[in-house]
Amino acid sequence: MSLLSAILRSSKGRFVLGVIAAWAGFQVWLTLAAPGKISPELAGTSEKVNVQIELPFTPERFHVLAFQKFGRVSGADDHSIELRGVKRTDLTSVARPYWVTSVGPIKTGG
Amino acid sequence: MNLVLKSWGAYTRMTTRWPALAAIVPFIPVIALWTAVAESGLFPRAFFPGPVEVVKSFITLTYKGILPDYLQDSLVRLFAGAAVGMALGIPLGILIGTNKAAHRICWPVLLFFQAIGDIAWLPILLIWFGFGLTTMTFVIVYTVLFPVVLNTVLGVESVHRDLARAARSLGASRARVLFEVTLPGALPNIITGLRNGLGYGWRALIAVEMIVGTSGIGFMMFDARRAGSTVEILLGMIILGLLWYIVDAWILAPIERATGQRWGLVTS
Repeated sequence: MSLLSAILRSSKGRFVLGVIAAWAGFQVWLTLAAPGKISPELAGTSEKVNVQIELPFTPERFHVLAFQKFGRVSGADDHSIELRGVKRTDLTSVARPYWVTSVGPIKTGG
Repeated sequence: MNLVLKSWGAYTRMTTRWPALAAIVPFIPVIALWTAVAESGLFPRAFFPGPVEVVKSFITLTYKGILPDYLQDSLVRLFAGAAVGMALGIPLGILIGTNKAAHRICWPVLLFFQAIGDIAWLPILLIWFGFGLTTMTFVIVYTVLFPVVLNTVLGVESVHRDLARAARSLGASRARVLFEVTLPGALPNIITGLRNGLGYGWRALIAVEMIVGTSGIGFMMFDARRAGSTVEILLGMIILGLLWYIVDAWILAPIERATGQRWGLVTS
């Protein structure tokens, strides 16, 4: 208890706690915001789904590698990555990063 | 002369009021010199970028999610390795410090392995575990372990034997002597060991990430050389220094003050 009060009395301690609280709050917000980024067109009963992930920038190797954990990357263009064979249960994890704008079905003939 | 003294007085008053300034002010001439050299055109900007380019790179990499992700990976690896290193090192140090037979057996082995640097293990670790998390965790645990063990032994041995004898004569059990005399007495050394261990672990982690990593700050810096991006390498270096300063000065040092110093075991 005295250690906690010592941390709260120190300005550095308050700053570190504030940063931790902000980070935790941001993580909660990412989790809550993720389902909203998934297009309703992806609704269905199949176990796996092919998706197009929209980003606000040109994807780099980091982003391709990050999505390979969830499925097979079959292509990328200026602002999106095509990911095939994604489990429905993983869709929120795919949509969770703050740099993902939206997750929808693959657009054909684009 | 008078002006210098007045300026020094103002600086002292300011840093007394806002101690954080004392940590920032020494960097001002370093950044000024860096800016001046970069702006002078002495070196091509691609080889020697200025602070503004580094800040821009920080913003871009954060916007793209690369920097926070790599930073999180490095920190998780460091703290997991440090936790395992502490969990092994503190009990081992106490055992060696309190038991003469254990000391005789373990001490030569400890000194032998201490001489084999963490990076020297990499070739064999790569054969055993491949390019992965196990290799990185092993190296960090190995690096953290020795400072923690050696400092714990030093701490245990530095506790005055009369204190333990006095507690025993008052009827304290061996466990009570350990938890109420030996451990609090050894704590300043244990925390010093932890501070050193984390520092060495942080450096080892960056080296390992450069060689075997597929993520992390070390990986980011080493990967940047492929694209010839000196700005990302400089950014990585700055983050390493800054993060270590925050961890050491803002977290570890206050813990040391709140425990060892508060209990009167360290005087300054």
